Amino acid sequence: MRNYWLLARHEYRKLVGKRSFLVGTLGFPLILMVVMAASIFISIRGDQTRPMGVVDHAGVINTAVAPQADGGNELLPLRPFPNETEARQALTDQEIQVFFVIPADYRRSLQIDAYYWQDTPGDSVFSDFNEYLRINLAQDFPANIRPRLIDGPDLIVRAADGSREFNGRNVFSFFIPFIAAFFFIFVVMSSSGYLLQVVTDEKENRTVEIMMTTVSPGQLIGGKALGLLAVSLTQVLIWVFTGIVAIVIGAAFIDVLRFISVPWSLLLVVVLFFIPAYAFIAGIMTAIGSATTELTQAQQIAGILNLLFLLPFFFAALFFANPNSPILLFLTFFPTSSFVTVLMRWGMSTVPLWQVALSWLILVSSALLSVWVAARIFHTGMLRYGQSLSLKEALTAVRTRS
Amino acid sequence: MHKILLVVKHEIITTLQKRSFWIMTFLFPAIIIFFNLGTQMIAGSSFDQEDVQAILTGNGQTPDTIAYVDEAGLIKRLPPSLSSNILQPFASEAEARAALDDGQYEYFFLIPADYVDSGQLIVITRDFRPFNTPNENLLSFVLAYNLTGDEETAVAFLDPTRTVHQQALAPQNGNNQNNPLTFFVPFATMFIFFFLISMSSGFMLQSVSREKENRTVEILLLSLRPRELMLGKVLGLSVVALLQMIVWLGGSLLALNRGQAAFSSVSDFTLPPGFVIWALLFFALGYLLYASLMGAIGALAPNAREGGQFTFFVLLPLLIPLWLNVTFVQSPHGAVATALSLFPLTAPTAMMTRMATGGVPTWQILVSLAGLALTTYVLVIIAARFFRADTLLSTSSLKWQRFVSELRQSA
Repeated sequence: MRNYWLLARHEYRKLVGKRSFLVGTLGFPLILMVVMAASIFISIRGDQTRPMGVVDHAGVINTAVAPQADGGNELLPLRPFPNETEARQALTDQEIQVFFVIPADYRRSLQIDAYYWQDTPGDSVFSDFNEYLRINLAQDFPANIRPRLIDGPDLIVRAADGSREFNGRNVFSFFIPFIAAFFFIFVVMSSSGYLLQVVTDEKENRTVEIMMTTVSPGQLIGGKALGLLAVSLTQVLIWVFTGIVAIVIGAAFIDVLRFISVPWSLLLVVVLFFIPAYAFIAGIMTAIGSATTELTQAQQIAGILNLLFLLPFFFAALFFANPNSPILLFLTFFPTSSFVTVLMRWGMSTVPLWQVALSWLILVSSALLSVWVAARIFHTGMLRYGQSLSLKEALTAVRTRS
Repeated sequence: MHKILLVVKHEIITTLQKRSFWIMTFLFPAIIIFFNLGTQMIAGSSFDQEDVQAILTGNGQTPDTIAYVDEAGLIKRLPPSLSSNILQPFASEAEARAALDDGQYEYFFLIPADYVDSGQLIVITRDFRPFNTPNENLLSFVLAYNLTGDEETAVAFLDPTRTVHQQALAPQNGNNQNNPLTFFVPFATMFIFFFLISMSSGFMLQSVSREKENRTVEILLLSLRPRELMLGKVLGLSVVALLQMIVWLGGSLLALNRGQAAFSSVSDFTLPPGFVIWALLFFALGYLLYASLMGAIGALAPNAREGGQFTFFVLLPLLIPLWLNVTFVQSPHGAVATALSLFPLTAPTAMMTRMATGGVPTWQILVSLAGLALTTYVLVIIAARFFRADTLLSTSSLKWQRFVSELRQSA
């Protein structure tokens, strides 16, 4: 037991002390934020504030009907023009960013033309114009039903057993599992790189020969994996903490953030699944790392395996559309994808308990198997230099009794 | 000259013999295409939001029966165009729940008594999927119909602009904005160029650091000068990269060409004249630039692992247009996109992306190309300074300070 602890502590100190750890922990989210801020800034800047124009042949738009600014979302101003020529002129003079022509038969065809100068107007322009049309169409009806006609129904989705509810305000809570899944994948990606090389340093400078006199191969790998896990968790905790601080601060300004509640049941799932999922990956990566000698070779194999862990993200849209589809059911039970899939389905739907239990059992047994196999392969490959284990040799190493 | 040719030949042969090269060349695009298109199709087909207009005109799929409980007493009539068996009212929530528990329905709508004021429409469902409620539109339409008493108006509230004909008055792009390819082709071009340049320059790093790691370089330097080695490697790998480019770009162009017969949207789409020639020029210079930078890192780093830590920073300029891809789609000739396409380090991906959308003035292409050529020339010379016998033979680790000190030493 003491050996595990020593190895884990050594590995932890070695990595956390490095400058690259600091750069990775602080720099990575920083770069991400800068890029996001830059692209948001670019997409909302510029033409977005110039008014829209309208040439109304159908007599739908009455500019006297001013839209009420609701929820802080103000619509772009709309300027009426008597004919296309004048609207064109205003567009040429850059007074407006776009103008719409409503043909005389609009009420039947619901067809309009949009003219812009050079770049396609953003989606918000079209949705603003739709809002103008709805508001004006609603003027023919009594005031008490207008809001219903303009805004439509406000959908609340309830699970039949009453366990979950979605009401448009708690929408952000549904993305927490996605964020958690991203963190997990990040931990996998960043530590799998280290796990591949977990023994390369010791092998290169032959420390492994001395270490083998005091620790068993299982202890060596287990201890190192523990240390790396601690490193990744340190990193994630720093980010989660920053995220929580950001949400608490942001809640003062953004309404949606106020309705976030701590998803305790989700936390339980994370705790239950994380350790076996990590052990599973650690086993696979160390097995690859100890069977190959060249890092680039190991990285290629690991890269393809990483795709298996990323699998659920490729089906991200499916989680929204149909979280209980057969494909996602398969991914729930498949060990490489089970953790992320269970997390994301947990967020989007109600997952039957038996599925969670079965998925957990499969994951735990796969984890045990992968760690055992890794120790076997490492045992055979640890004192080999400059020679990779072939698949056949690796299989024999696993099969033979020690 | 003979020695350089030998290095060229060796690089080509060893790279082409690698299994990973062929996997990356053929399998990688296949995986990307599969995951992008395949999963989108799966997801797209399951977002079955019904088209009310199509149902009314009898063109759409007949929807399943919708169960609902109308506590507001709002639904008095059905729209005449709708067949009457589409809606199934229940007198109370308890009755509807009983039907739900029996398995007759997957879900039912509950219209609360204060619907008109609060707007709340409740769905009670066994299969909880909050972002994809079937028949939501159809029920909204029925509610709007009962509020307005007119089908056409009810449809208008659902979607006031069913069809929008968009037209640019000063189109810079040669292509129709309503054509999906106008967005897709520049995207594809950007990705192809990014992967080609980053991969082929990655080969350069691998090749240099491998020979350094296994000390082959010590023997090699007996018979040829470091600069010859670098030149040979750059040239040899350029052949490989060109091969990859022919496979990817040629494959895409062929697909575009073949598709013309099958889809009308494809035949509307044209790439600017001379696109292939410009693509080759930008690719050749971009490759030279990044390959020599990666070669320099390979020469300085003691092994592939330490060198790999620096590749991110070197490839950063190539990544920037990729991050800002929204800008390139929204306004390909706006300030940001234009600036990125003129800045030499980002030019290879940025300019090609803009050119794929069409309408880039020729002077911009020429300026960008000239800038890129000049930068490439300067950076190749600097990279060559790092490529010396003493750096190739040293095992000291790679730090930022070393770039500066090594550069000074050589000057």
